[in-house]
Amino acid sequence: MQSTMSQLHSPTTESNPATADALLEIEGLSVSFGGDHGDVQALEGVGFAVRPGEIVALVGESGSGKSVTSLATMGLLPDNARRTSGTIRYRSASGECVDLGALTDQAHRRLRGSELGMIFQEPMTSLNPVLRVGDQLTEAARLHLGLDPRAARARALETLGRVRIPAAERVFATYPHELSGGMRQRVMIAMALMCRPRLLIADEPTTALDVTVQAHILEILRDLQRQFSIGVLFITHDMGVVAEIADRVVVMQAGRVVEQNEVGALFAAPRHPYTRKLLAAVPRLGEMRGTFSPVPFPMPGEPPSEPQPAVDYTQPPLLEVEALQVRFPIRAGWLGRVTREIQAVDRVGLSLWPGETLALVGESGSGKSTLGRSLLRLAPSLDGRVSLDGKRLDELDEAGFRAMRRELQMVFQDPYASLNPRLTVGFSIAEPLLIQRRVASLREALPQVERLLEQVGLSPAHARRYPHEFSGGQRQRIAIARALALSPKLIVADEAVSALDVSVKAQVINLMMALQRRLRLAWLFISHDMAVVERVAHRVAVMQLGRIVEIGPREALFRTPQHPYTRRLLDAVPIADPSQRRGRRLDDEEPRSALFPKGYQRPAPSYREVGERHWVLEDG
Amino acid sequence: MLIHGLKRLLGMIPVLFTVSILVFAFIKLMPGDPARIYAGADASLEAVEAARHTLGLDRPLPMQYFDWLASLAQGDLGVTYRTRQPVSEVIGASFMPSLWLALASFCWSALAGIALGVFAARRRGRWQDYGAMGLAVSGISLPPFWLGLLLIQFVAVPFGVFATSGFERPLDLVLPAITLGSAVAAVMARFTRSAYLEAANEDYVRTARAKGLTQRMVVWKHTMRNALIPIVTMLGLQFGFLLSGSIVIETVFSWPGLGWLLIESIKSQDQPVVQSLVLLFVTMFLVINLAVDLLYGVINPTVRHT
Repeated sequence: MQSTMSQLHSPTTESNPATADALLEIEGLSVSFGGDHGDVQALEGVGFAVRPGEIVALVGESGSGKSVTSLATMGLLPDNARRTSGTIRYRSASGECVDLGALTDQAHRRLRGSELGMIFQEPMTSLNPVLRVGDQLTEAARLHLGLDPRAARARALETLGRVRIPAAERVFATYPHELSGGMRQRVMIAMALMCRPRLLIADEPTTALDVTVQAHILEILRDLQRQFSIGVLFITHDMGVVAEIADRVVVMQAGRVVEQNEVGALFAAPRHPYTRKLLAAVPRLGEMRGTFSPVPFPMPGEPPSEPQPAVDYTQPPLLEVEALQVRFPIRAGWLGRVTREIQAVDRVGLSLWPGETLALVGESGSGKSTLGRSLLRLAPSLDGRVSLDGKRLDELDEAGFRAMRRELQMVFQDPYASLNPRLTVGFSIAEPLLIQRRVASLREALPQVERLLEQVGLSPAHARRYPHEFSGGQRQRIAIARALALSPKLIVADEAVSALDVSVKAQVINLMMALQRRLRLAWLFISHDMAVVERVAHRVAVMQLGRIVEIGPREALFRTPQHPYTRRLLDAVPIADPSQRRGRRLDDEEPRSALFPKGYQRPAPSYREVGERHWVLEDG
Repeated sequence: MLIHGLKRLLGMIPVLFTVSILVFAFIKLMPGDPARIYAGADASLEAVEAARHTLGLDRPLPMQYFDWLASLAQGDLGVTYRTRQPVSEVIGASFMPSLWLALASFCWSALAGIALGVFAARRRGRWQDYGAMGLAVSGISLPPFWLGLLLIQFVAVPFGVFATSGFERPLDLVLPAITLGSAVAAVMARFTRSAYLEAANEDYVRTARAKGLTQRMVVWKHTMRNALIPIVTMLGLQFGFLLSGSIVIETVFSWPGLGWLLIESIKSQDQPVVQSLVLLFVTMFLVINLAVDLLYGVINPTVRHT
């Protein structure tokens, strides 16, 4: 980064009335990464401005260059990155204009954390696990503002209050791992605000969080931006979030800015085809009102799809679960005794019919993943009856259950971690066939592997490649092919599309629906994304604290949600329409947990029928 | 935490028990007649038989084992066959020189290894990195007795400041400690480098930089505090190695320590000393491992309270 710096003092541009008062003005910024195969251009002539008190959303899919732009502004680019042209002008508190790209490391460091604050995406990994929250909060203020420990602590407690952390004193003394994801992200925001920055860069700050927590965080950010009149650069891939929070939107694709506009104008009349494509791929809550069967996402340039075939509920169900319980012991105290248990799944019952998609929704910690895993015996169940096709699974021994696994498969959330990097894709798909002795050798499995790859929209030639050669969406297709290998009747998809970009997400969901039509597959679709669930599900079950609080046909449940928790979940979903922005007041309650004393039995759940196959938990 | 420690302490008992059986069995498998050594080279056949009886060596092997175990439980390690001193006195005299040597080697090699590792990691891919790691590889590859001989030949002999053998003054520690610690320093340098690089890649280090912290705070507070977690584990293993692995170096420098005592006792078939020494080495290793595990809980808050 050193040699090219000096030759790059671009001429000052004519003063633009729109940007004359800008806090941050990026112009013609190009950045390239040096690699083993030559340079890769990450940014090409990027330009936009952020004014004080304004929230600018930087939107695009992964690899579009939004994070590189923010890291360049912060001076945090990796060592192999080079700024090849352009300026990043910042008007500092002293009123002078500096080019952040040309600053010395030392000068840039002094601005970072004091005038420029940044919030990162991953609240779970962005806090230092071995340092107390209080220490991490105060260190920047002590360094930049020269506060003594007592003053820094007072300011930290005050800032924790501003991000609405209850019991700030307690949080101050904890380690990060003792806090939930939502709390950690609040701590991150408080940390960025400690020195009262003038520009705040938030890089996907809510992507890893539950919708209800996301709604809180967005509201906090908006409040703070109003109170302190700071400029916010908000990086996201979620158009719903953009509609909720942004004043202006900058759309990036492949390292370039393709469109920028006021948020209302951009949503009302997107000009660039890429913007239109992004907006089309956004699932909008309420789109499916009045449609009873799931419908695949419309794809640009393709005729609208037929709805999924209706489910015949007069048949016996494929899967029946009754009074299923899963508990995880918590050890504590000097003796390490089990004193409490997490009642992850508490006497849950549900049925699933052939060719049906049942969505399981709820916040993290609601027990939805544990329920899915316990069906496949990936989590130990304490009690309950599970039958598939009339056969009792819970009574089978390990060997008997292994034979049944071919009927019941799973697709996991992380397409990067769920494929073995050292095995070819073909082998990963063939492995279940080999284990279940459907084929005698890898060679014999090849025709089936190739057919499976074609079925999920990949080429047969891909069988010889390794997982790292594929994108996230392709990997998830491979994981689906692997799950399909044994022609199962039911696949549990645990947040299977949550890690994917919007447009890829839509494609993978359409694939899942196509497979359902062709093979009469039943999906248990575990997700926290209500808008996606509205697209794919025939029926929906809402889980909270290990219990199903409401279960019913998707249309009825979304149109007339009966349980307060279902309503809260639906209310928290961002609406991808800036004209419908709501001034919400959200309660600040921390989500309760399903942690109970050992052996404690909650009163048995009782349900009230509110419609056809629509049941609500009676709280009492 | 306390209960956890006590549990681990109790868990050492079966391990020690098993080891005692193995040690006893192997000693009895060794060729040669300990009674003859006890009685002396010129002793008559009757004297040897009398010695065999006094030492209980004519009793069945299981009885001998239980005798040994019983006196061990009372803190009685027996007498050496060579000099007829109590074994505990002999080992006690050799223990401190070994401990001093291990501590001196450990201190310099841990500090130097960690410093070199951090230095290399922070200049990854540049010539300083390659230089430091080249040095580390040669430290690992150089046989310790060879390095010891070189030091004696080219440092001790020409300058006369350091002794070539024995342990009379603290200064005598220098050359053996350099020899013994060099392999550990090299291992620690390589290990620290990779642990540092792994920690430096973590999101929280980026967060620390985004806060505008000084380079020193980012490196030592945010990165090293985390990198230290695996490093401490490694240091514990290395300390055990230093305490028991000094046989070669103690021989080269005629160091009056445990390693030297072990070699001498094996040479003269002094069974009680060999038995006690092996058991002592195993115990030290277990204790160090336990200490490391407990320390691990202190430096890593996420495993505390479990």
